[in-house]
Amino acid sequence: MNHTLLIVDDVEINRDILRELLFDEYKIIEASDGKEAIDIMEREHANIDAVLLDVIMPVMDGFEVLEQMRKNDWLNKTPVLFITGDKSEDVEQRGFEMGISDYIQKPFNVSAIKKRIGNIVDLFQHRNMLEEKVKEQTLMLQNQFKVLKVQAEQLKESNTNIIDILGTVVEYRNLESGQHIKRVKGFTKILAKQVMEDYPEYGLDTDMVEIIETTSALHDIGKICIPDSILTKPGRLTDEEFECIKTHTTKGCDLLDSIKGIWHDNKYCEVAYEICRYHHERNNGRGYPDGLEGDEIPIAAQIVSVADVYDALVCERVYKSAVPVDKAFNMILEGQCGVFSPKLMECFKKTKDEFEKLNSELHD
Amino acid sequence: MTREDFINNGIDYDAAMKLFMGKQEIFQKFLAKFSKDTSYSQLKDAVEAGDCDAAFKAAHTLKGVSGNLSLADLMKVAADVTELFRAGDLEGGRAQMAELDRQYERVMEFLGKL
Repeated sequence: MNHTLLIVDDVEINRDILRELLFDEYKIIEASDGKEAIDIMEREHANIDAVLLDVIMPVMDGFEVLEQMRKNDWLNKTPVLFITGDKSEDVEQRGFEMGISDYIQKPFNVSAIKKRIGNIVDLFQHRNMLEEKVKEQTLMLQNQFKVLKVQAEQLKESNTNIIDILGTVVEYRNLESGQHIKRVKGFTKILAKQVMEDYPEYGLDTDMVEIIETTSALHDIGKICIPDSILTKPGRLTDEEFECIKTHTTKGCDLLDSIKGIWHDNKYCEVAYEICRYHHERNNGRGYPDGLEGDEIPIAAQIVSVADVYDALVCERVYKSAVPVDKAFNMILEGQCGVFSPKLMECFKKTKDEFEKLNSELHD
Repeated sequence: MTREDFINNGIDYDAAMKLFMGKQEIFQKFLAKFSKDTSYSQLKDAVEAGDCDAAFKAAHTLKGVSGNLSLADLMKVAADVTELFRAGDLEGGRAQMAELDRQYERVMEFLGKL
């Protein structure tokens, strides 16, 4: 199919001559002044492969046509060649500044005209095609990115589900209600968000809060290795039995080590390990298994330990009845269940209402 | 008409043949259209009315058309007056009009014989 040229010149003979010279290679459209040219381009600029534009014309001259084309953003796709009669460089210079691609001079020189038009049309065809291709590929990439994002979301979700299942298995063996995991996750999230806001020195962000929340489900996974007779024993434990219970922290870590490969994100693996091992450490170094002090205890474990203790207090267990929320709150602040860091206690105080709201929502 | 006939009437025959790819009949077809071109009469009117800007535009057009038709002698005067009117020199341009008239008549007379 032939390319299309729009010839804009107020002098009929000039248009006729150009048509005569070019009609066998191009489809020709003519306009006798700038206004008519703009009208034609408004209708079909997408089908015009180049514009031959006279400069001095009545009604609307070549420069005004260029300005209109620039405003309509047509110059990027449709090249313009000036038809100039003067050997003055000013007109060409100004034309180039306003976006023409080339010019042809009167008196016409047929071979130069054909060559120049041919070059410009080819160049723009090629450029427009490349742009189209880039656009297509960008769109494709964007779509693929969307798919990947959805898949990553799904992966994350199924990851969370598996972690929850692991945690719940342990919990059922513990003869608990099945809600402990859910509640600890909820309390952990509340507290972690508050730490993120108030204490930037811990470097928490929303991603990290989510990771801590998700992996908190595994804090007691080591209890799977504790014999039933001890784990579900009603009443007080002997010292020996208590020592055995304490190993659920390190045994949980052994278990996590053995399944290291399943994590899609190493951060999860790391945080799960910290929570498992250190959620019974206390700020004054009186916890177990390692007797860490203060911020030696990873922040994730510090947060989960408060959540875990709070939940243990407000719930009924085989060996104890539920403590009222106000009393539980005070017991934790007073250090009756082990000492927590002052920063964490500030966050706990601030989120008291949130804790109690979640507690009443999740209590079955 | 021979090459010499064209040349003797101030027409650059060789340039025309180059433009019209050696086809004299097409050249003559376009020459015939020249008698209908209004730029000459517009130029006369503009000079008459003392409108220098209109005179420039008409002269410029006449220059372009005569150039494209290889009317070499006519184009040369048209180019001269175009520059004078462009510079705003109405009287200078007017003074050249007799020569322009002469060249125009010469072309028209020749075209009448085609």
